Amino acid sequence: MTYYLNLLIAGLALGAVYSLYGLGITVIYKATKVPNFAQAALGAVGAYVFFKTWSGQKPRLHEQHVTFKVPFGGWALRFVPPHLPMWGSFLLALVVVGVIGLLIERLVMRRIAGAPTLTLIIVTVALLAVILALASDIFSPEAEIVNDPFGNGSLHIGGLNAQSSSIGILAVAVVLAVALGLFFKYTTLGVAVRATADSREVSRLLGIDANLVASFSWAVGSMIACIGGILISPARGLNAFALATLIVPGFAASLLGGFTSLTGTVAGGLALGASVDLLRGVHWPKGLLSNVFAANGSESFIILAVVVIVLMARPKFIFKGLRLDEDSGVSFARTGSGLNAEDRVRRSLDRSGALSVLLADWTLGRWILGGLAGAVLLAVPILTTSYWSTVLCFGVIYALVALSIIVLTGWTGQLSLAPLTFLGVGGYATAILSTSAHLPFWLTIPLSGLLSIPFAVVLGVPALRLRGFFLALVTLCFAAAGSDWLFVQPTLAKHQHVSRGVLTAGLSQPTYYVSLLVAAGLFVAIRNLSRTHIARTFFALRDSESTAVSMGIDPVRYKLLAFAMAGAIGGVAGGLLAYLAPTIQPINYAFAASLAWVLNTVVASATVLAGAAVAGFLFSIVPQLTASPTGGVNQAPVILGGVAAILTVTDYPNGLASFLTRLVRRFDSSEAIAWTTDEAGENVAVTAAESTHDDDDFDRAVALVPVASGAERD
Amino acid sequence: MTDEPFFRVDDVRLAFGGLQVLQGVDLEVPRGQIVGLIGPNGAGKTTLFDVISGFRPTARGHVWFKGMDILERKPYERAWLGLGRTFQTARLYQNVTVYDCVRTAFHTRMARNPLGTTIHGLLGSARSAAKEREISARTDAVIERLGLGDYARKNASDLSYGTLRLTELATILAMEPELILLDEPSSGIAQKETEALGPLLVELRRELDATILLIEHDMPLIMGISDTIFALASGSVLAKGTPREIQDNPDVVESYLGGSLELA
Repeated sequence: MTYYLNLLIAGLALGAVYSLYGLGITVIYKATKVPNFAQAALGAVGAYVFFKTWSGQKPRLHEQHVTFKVPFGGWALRFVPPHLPMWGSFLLALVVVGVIGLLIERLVMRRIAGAPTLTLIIVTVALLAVILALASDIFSPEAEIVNDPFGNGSLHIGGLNAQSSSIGILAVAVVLAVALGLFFKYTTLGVAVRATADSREVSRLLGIDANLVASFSWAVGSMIACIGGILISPARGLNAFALATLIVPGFAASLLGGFTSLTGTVAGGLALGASVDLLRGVHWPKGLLSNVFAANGSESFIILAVVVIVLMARPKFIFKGLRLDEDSGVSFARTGSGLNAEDRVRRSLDRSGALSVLLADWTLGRWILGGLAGAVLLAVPILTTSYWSTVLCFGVIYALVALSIIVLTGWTGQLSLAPLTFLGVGGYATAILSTSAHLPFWLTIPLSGLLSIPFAVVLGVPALRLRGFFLALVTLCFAAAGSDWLFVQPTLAKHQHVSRGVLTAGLSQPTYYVSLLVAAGLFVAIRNLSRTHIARTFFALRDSESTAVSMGIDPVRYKLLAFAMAGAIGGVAGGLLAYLAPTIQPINYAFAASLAWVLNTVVASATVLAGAAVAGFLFSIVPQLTASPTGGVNQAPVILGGVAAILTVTDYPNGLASFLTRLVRRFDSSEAIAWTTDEAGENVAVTAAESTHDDDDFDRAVALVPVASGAERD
Repeated sequence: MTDEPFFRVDDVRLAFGGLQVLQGVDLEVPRGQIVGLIGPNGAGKTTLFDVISGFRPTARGHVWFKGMDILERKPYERAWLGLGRTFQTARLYQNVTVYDCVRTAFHTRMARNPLGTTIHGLLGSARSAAKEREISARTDAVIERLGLGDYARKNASDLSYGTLRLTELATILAMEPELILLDEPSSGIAQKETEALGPLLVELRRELDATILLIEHDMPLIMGISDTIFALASGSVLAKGTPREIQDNPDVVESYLGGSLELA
């Protein structure tokens, strides 16, 4: 009994940290409707600032310096931070993180207030990636052990044994929650936040400054994350990427509070933490149950189970303040017709005569460019070392990852943050099939694709009832449970190697050619499909499910079909990756990597198939080409990719490949009109383009209907 | 089967929480007629459409269509049975072209199980290409019929509201439903277009051999083309009759039409 009581105390302390991460998320979501994925990164920054400056951290950290580096410049600012008393470090951490929160709101979120959920998710996921990468570069990439601010004492009452840190963390969480509760209830600003949460428009009409409310919520939410990050570091180690995983329980706690209730968030976090430690601590009989719960990563599995159950059952006491239906599906808005960035670029290219051969006859240009690219892809392994084949092969495999994201998210509007989980399934399937069943690669790779389909369909089932952010949340938990729990199960974890057969380990050329062939086949197949009714069904479900349904489209079948296809592509890519990579490690499929690939695909284009190739090239091959001149900034590609993702969703949601394809497209007649008008002068063209948009369209439509009705009298 | 009514709504009730939105609606639409549905805002017209097309699964009562009670059917199954609808604020696929919006509407001509179609599509088989050619040919005809040729390659998000409405009708034309539910087809479009809408709807019925149930606030339009009109108020049927009878019905005048009787 005392054993379980002790487990409960430890569990409540863990739950208190979940609550702190959840509280920050709830505060920000309440006021701004932004699901803040960057919360965990803010916590990590707070922890770094605290432990790098706290004089109580003895022995001093292995890496004492703080280093600000400039990518590509070789310039760096390197200094040892001051040693401060605990309260000094704590205040400094709070101020630094609070200011970062304010900056995020002011510089990024304010520009996209009221944007579609997809945009908000992509932006905060990108902020997560950028801040984590920066923190890891500035402070230290290694995980370090830190002292506990509450000391190492413990309290004994009877058989009960409570660590001073457990008591401290619990006290902090409860005090914070009560203070926040009182604040929201009794202060003018607090009431303003609640009013804004109820209705942004009405509160604005009443004269509440929405920007002030948003700034305040971001600052407070960030500072709560900072406290959470400091308190959990002694248990998890001081490392940006280890602390990032807390975003999953943080979201779960906030979900249990319906994303609005502070009490609910704290209670939910505590209950979640207690369940995790109790379920882990039970002496399960050896076998399936002990594998499920006793494993290290069972935390992520339990959280996935709780999140799925809560979102599917939707108990009334949680969801009274939250309408899941108002959260729309995901859509990548097209920029309107008229003169866009690509039109301007194309026009200046046309004027300067550059690329005129290619652009004048794109059918020919396409063949020339395609032929060149194909020749390079085929020749590189022959002309260069095995290293470059490996680099290209990674590019090809990641192009397939992007392809799976395009089918599922870009086409069907189902935002999944777990694309790499299917690579893991495919990887382990390949390992088992090749070593235990002794199958050759030409059987294991397609079988890996087939075996990933059931996993994808299982993930697709919640998607039948969830959209937008809530689907993204489930897939995030799924990704975490995949890498932290499923892939570390002893039956899988022992399969670290594939039996390569002809695809030998030392020489990557054969693997590369196989990957290229498989990827080409899959691209052609998906391209074929993109011109059929099936693809149009996907687009219909993405853009308006109710209209799709009223046209007879069964949303269940077609969504699961999209999940199955994405899963199969991911499984095949995972099979290829298993032959390429030296070992199969769960970390390869971590959710942070999944998030990065979603961002990369968005930058390259989530809607245009060429985006997959662009993503593979830009984010897998180019970083290898530029690895050396970054001047010691390890995470430069991640940082640049994250910034690019933010700029893409805010300014050019169709991505780079769409830009390129529109740049070289054939023009239809209406565009030709805008084009020729433009010959007279820049301003005329702009006016023409604008008028095509509004009045002109309308007048033509008015003129049309009588024509149509006149015809029917014949 | 022969004495079964084509379409009948039988004692349909629906509550949102404690609020009774539909309190026992009875309504009958004979095959081939245009039946109008009028009533003040909040009378439950659009909600009734949602019940008929399956978007309100908690509704009680019966919705008889071609001899079947379709109330328990999923919305997409009702489309396969021959029921088509438009929405009050035209909801179309924003990021695809007008041409593709219309092509999508041929869904009920495709195989019901998507697996075969998908595999043929992935392989780019001749069967898949033939099916696509067939759909494209039918789409061309629909686009031509409604004079949407100039807009075929434009995105729905770039269209004016009038053109969007016309595109919506094009998708209905493509679906060829036996019963068409139109929710305020004139809302948001110019007066000139509204005047042309009446003859267009009458023609649509003739060409498709369809039956139309229509919600409309434009009195000249609905009075001009309807064979029968139901007036709804506070979730139940207030009156039923020919357009002339409805205009002379004192209850309807009281609750909805107001004093303005100088109608067509």
